[in-house]
Amino acid sequence: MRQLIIILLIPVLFFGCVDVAEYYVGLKTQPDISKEDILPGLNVYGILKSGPTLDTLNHFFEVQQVLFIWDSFDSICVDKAAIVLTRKPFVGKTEQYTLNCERDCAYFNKNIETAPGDSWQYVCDYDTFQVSASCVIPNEPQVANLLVDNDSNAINFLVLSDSTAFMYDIYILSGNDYYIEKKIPTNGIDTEFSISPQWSVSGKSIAMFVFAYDRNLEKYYTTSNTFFKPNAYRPYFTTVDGGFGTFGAVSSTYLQLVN
Amino acid sequence: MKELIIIILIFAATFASAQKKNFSGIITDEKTGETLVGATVVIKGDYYRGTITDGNGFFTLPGIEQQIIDVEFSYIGYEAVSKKYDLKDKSKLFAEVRLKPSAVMLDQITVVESGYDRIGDAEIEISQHTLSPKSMQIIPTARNDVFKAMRYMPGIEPTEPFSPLVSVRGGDPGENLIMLDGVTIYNPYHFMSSSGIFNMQTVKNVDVMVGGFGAEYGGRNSSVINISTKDGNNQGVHGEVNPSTSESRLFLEFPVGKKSTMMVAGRLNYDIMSNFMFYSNDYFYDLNLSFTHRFNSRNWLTLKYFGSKDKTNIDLNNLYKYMGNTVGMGMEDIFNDMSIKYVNKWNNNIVTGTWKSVLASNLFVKAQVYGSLHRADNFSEMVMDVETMVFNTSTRFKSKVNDWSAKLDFDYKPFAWNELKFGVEYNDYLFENGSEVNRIDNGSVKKLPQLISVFAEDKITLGPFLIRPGIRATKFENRTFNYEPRINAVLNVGNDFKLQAAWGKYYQYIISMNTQDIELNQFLDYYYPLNGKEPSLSYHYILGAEKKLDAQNTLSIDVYLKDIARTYTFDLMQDQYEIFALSDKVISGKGRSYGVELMWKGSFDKFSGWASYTLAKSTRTFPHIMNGKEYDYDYDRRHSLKIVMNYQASKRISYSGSFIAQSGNPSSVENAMQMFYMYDPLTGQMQYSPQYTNNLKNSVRMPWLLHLDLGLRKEVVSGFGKDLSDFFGADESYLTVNVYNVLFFRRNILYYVPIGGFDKMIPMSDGYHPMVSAGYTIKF
Repeated sequence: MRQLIIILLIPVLFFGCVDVAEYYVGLKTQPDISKEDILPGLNVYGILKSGPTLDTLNHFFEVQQVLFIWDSFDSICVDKAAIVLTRKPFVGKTEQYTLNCERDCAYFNKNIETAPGDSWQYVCDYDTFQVSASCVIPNEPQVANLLVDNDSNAINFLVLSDSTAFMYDIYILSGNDYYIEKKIPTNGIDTEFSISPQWSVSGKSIAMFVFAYDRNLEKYYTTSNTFFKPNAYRPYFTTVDGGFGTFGAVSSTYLQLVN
Repeated sequence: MKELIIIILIFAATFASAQKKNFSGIITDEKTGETLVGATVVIKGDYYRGTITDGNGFFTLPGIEQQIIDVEFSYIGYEAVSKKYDLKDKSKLFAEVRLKPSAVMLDQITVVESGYDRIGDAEIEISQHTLSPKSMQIIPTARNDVFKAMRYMPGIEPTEPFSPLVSVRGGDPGENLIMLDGVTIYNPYHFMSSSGIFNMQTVKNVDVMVGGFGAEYGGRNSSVINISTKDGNNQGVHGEVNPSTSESRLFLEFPVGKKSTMMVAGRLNYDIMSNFMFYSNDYFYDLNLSFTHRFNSRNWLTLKYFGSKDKTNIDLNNLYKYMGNTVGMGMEDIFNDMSIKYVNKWNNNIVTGTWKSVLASNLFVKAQVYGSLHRADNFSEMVMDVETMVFNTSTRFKSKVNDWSAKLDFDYKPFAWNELKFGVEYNDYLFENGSEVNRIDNGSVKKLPQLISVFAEDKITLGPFLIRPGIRATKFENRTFNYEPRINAVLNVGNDFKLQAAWGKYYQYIISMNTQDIELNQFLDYYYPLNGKEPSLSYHYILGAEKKLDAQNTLSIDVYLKDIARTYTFDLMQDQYEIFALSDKVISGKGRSYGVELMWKGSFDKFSGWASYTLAKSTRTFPHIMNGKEYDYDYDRRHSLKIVMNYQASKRISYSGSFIAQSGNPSSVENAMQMFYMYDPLTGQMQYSPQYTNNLKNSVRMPWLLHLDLGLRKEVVSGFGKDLSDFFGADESYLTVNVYNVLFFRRNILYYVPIGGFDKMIPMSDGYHPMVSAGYTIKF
């Protein structure tokens, strides 16, 4: 018995009680990670919209920062950033807008106007960080061959090929019912949709919004690893320079479908 | 002139050899008629020579000079037989030997066949492990599962905690060639690692070559795993019935006429617990059929069918609703909007016909055709919606594989010191892969490649030195042939000690998509052909030594280096618009695995089993991961200690235990939180999804894992159990009791789950309490 006690004590003496408890008894409940390993920076979001929506604003901007995993969410918001937008219209002179933080970490300027073909530049300064990006407002999406098929309960249509559109977002609304579908087009080819909602399309008033996304937003939504898998390799996602997040544009069209 | 002399010499040698006799034959189990693989054949007397039976139970002893030989046939667990043969009589040149299973004596009980392994060329093969059903029976967690049992062998490690996939010597699971009776099988797993799809009642042998395998096998870079199943019993109706609350199994083997045998086996698993908790209606089944017709002792034909299907529909929302409504405190809404879904369907169908023939006493031929069809459709989703905080991610992977193949193998022994194996195989494939990531269709790809493989290897015995050079030539699609030279060598130093070495070049044309960074749990490999790309390539360098301590105990050591010159991974998170096709998401990299494996197997006193220790390292480099910086591979296990032991307390009762202690795998534990913005352009509403990110791949080593399981097996000789077995006319019936996760108080941390706003992570384990299971088996 004495030998047994000595044998059991040896690892304790060698590694100390804490290490033994952590590694061999199983009380090591937290991983070895350090705040110094993270890449600090701003995590921005910026979107400009052209065309019909149900929103009263044609843009949304927000600035946060990337947090160390164990930091409190309270410090995530950045409300003192300086954001300057520069618009270069397809035709006309360059304009500049300054955005103000009006609530939480969201920034607005009610004077912003835009149209398809506009080029925009985004610069955000805060502390030692500077984030910059640019985008072009896509053309208004063109819908063709629209057919509401009551027999197969489907809405079929084409969105005509457009080199400024990189992702489509379709919203179909009918009373309290709705249907949303995203699709990535193939360059140079019309994008075909055949939508079969769970609810009946027959004899109803149906509204359809088609959104065309620019290159940046498409990239942001398709390359960000947002999966819930714990401990998977998931690098920070970005389409901007000097930080993280995205700045992009959408343009939309609205159709009232007739049965 | 020089060539002419060589040709003349070869002919002269062949002619000289023809003056000698070739003695060959087949060895079977007297009770069941099954061929015995790895049985020993020795010519006694002054002219000492021996061999072992191959994977078909066939043996050849060429170039015998004597007229009368005294031959001993033996096999562990069987009574040895000695017979004299007068080789002047041509009918005696081919022997059909039946060995009788020996009566079980206490001092003979052993679960490990030490020394010679059972298939492959045991004399020269390196890094080969064999698991018989008997040895798997002593592993409490793996009594009915080939893949769980394999994890107790050195160099073979599980990949993810709940996944049935295995990594061999730091390789990708898709680099393992898994065969069922010589048929390549794709994803032979059931859901949630509950079991491999091979019904243990049908398994005759499991052979694993973890590296340095010969030119006969190819197409995969890491390992060859072959599961051979029974052909049927030609002596009468025999079988096994295992009813239980979660899984029922039936196995029957019987003769059909005088020359044919048949085997039928089925298994149905119905996950009552999950069905009750999640209304999931999960099930899986598998079915084996085998028909063997022996035209005569030299020609036989086997037809086999294997089918399996898995269906799972788990929606944890059902459980959460229950929890939320029970907990109350306003949690109902949160739980009602929360959902984790698994909807999985996959199946395998295999048909094969094999003709085996002893064309001449020193020439054996095997012809096989098969079709191996696999379908998979796996959907997983995680949705949580609490005010402006949202998680909404999903993946769907679809896979279709058709593999139609024809192959012809020859085994020719022209001289006593020389054995030549050669063969050809043709595979006609169809691969169709599709994926949907976060409800965005990634499209699908259909490819129809062909593969032609030709191999030849020659085993040459020069006194105590054996060498087996070989070459495999492979042609994929319309490309030129790639050549894969390989060489194995053994030096029998004497005193039951041998030194081994192997080197080989291995090409792989069909890879698997690694989805473990985005799928909730990667249960399956999604196979993908490398059309239009250079094949994956690795080189194996292995040195080994084996010392037979006594008749029962063997000690071995293997030192290996696997140089992975070219390997591939999928980066599914590439820009969808820019790189839409799956084929363009394959990224090339390189890697290395090296290590040392020590193993003891054998028996002493009433104990038998094996123990192994592995020290290993595996790394990878890909340009898109940390800008090409080398990192520890996902399945790298630095230290691994495995012990499987059986204690035969009496003739009727045995206790067994299995223990694993191993360092944790490297993991990409999240170190930062970056909010993902989910903006609705229609309404202007913003929702947020906190994403736990990391810029360092596999930078954290998980804590050590310790696992101990205990088991008891007791033969039933009285009471109701005995009455029941008597009613069925059973030969044997026994009770098994297993206690899993005995060290439950020592929590094995498998994941660290980050929780927003807290300064701690939730350490997750796969077992928080011990589990006990009991079963009753009737064998007749």
